[in-house]
Amino acid sequence: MKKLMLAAAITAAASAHAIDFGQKVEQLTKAQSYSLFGIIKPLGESSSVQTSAADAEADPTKLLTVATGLTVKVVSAAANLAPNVDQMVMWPNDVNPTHIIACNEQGSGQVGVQRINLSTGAVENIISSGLSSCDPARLTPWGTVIVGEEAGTNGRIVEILDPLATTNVSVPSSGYGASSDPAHVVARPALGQFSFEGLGILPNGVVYMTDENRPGGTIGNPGGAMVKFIPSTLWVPGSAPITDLADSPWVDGSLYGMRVGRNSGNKDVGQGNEFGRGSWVAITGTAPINLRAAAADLKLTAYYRPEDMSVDLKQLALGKVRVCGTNTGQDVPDYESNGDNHWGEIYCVTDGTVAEAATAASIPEYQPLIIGNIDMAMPDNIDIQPGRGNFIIQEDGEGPTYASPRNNDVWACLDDGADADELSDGCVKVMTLNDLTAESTGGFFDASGTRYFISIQHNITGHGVVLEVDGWH
Amino acid sequence: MIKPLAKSVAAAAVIAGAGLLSVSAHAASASATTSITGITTELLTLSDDFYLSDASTPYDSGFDANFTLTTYNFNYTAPNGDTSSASIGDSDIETFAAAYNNGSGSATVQWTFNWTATGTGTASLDLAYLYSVTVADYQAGETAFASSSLQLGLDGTDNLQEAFFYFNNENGNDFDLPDLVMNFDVTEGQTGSITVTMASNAAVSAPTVPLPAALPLLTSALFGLGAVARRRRAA
Repeated sequence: MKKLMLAAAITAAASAHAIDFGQKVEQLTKAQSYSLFGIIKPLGESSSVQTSAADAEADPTKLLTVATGLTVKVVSAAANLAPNVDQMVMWPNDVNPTHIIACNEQGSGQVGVQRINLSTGAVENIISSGLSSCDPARLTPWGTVIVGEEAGTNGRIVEILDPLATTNVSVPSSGYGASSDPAHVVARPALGQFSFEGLGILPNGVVYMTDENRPGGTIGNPGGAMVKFIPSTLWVPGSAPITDLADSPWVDGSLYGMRVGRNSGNKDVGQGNEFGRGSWVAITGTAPINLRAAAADLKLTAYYRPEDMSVDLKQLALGKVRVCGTNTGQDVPDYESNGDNHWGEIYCVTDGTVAEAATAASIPEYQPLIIGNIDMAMPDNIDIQPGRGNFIIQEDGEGPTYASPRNNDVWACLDDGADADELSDGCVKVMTLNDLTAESTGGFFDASGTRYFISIQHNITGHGVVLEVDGWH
Repeated sequence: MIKPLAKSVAAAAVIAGAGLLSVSAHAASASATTSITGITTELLTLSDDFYLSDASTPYDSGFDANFTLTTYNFNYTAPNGDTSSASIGDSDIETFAAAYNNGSGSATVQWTFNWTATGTGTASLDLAYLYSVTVADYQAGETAFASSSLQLGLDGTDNLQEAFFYFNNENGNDFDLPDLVMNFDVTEGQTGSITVTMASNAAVSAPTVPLPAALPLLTSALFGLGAVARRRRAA
């Protein structure tokens, strides 16, 4: 017979036992998922399911398992949707979009940029050849679309006018020669060259960029640096969109690299000083400047494979600049000889007010926000959810070989709160891929923060799949 | 001067507009309860309770960490009937949340206690609990959600038992008195701690009433009727 025995009387607490306070915090975070993250219940283990090509073709939503409370629908799984869709942007805006403009991360012989009709899922090519590893895509305040190449020291920034009326344009596979439609597609040498992936554009046209680079090759080579571009003529927010690419603020401007360390007259720089306040160091030369070489020459602070970046809109509404991004790290399991157990991290850089950030005199401050772990590893794409202000982070893929915990998940993380530290107050897993050969990329929210779009890159079907995840409270 | 024709048009517009603007009396409700009704153990004695309690609605919130369970009882009903409730009770260790029409409530308790093994073998802890989740009068376009969750974990290990019940955007009523059981090997005199995390959540939001296209007609009609009334009084 079952005895009823509720909370026993308190006795002297002097025993040694395994208290894991961190586990309690994790359990509390999960128990309050609805109020903290707008989902009903987070996921547990990463998926180890491999959906077949036939099943994925019949129902592409099977490629993704989402947290309880979220729902998935197909935006496009068209046969001509490029297989390596990475970052995406809404057009003409994220309030009432009609299309998604998407980068395809393949070689110059494949399509570079496509548009997806949100109503029908139909796909058309904007830039059909010439781009190498198109990765970042952004909508500019002046009404154009910016894409970038994650292509080492040859990466370019390319600007597109009127993306719905621009079709099958070819660009030179390198250099800054004219495209086949120079009135609508032009490369921007003023922004220099490195492996573009993270872009944070301010309303005045100032942009923060990171180089997707890691220390490698010769011992002592730095990783990826952060660079700021300040247009010679700042954009006035609220002005009418441009109708001529010659009027873009990114025709001309100045470049500056972030170097952390202000002690000893800004000379306390170098390995060992990656966090804290720094300064912007002028990068000079004839455009297009090799930014990676400049970063090494100028001893800019570097990180392990900086990838995507998102602008903190809550801070921007207060007139302040805060951009947050991912450093991917490298977490090949440690039973492999090259296994680093470098889980990666999410960082934020503040740079004063918007007006201050438009000068070289602003003071950047780099602080980590989330430190990765064996379960949440190799963060790649990131978006800050409008409204809630939570960080939605996509892990890089790692192929089908490795067992759980795997890097095929999407996480929701709280921002730092009023507690003493400056780290995220907690994370939960909200999505996991059911295709061990794929990785999720390019995740972003619409302006309401309730519609999330995600690409299932190089998935088992062989063509692109873009899904929409709804149900966020 | 308003012509008789205009007065009849105004009256018709009021009738049409009132029909479009009429608000339904329907309202969804959601509620959830999670409570501990008993514990039985084998090879274990328990001691040293510690509680973290956290309750909130959009209007009130309370949080405490203490050796005795801090109770809360938040309940707010607006003049239009919108209700948000969250409570933590200690007759059983109970969390409760409820919402009606437009509201939300959340109540969480995290209860930690120490254990000492009284023998060598497989110890067990049987946690008897009650859960109840209900969503009623839900209609498409609304948001209505109720959940009850319970986690029983052996601290410092991945030995975690979980129970989760919910209804989301659908009517439903579920109630039971089940158990969560945790087994683990011990040697006599060994000590450790266990954490129970329980939460009840409920939220309802009614759909926004769309502004009908006839609203301008309705408002101008009301203005016209008002003018007619003023002229009658003047006359």
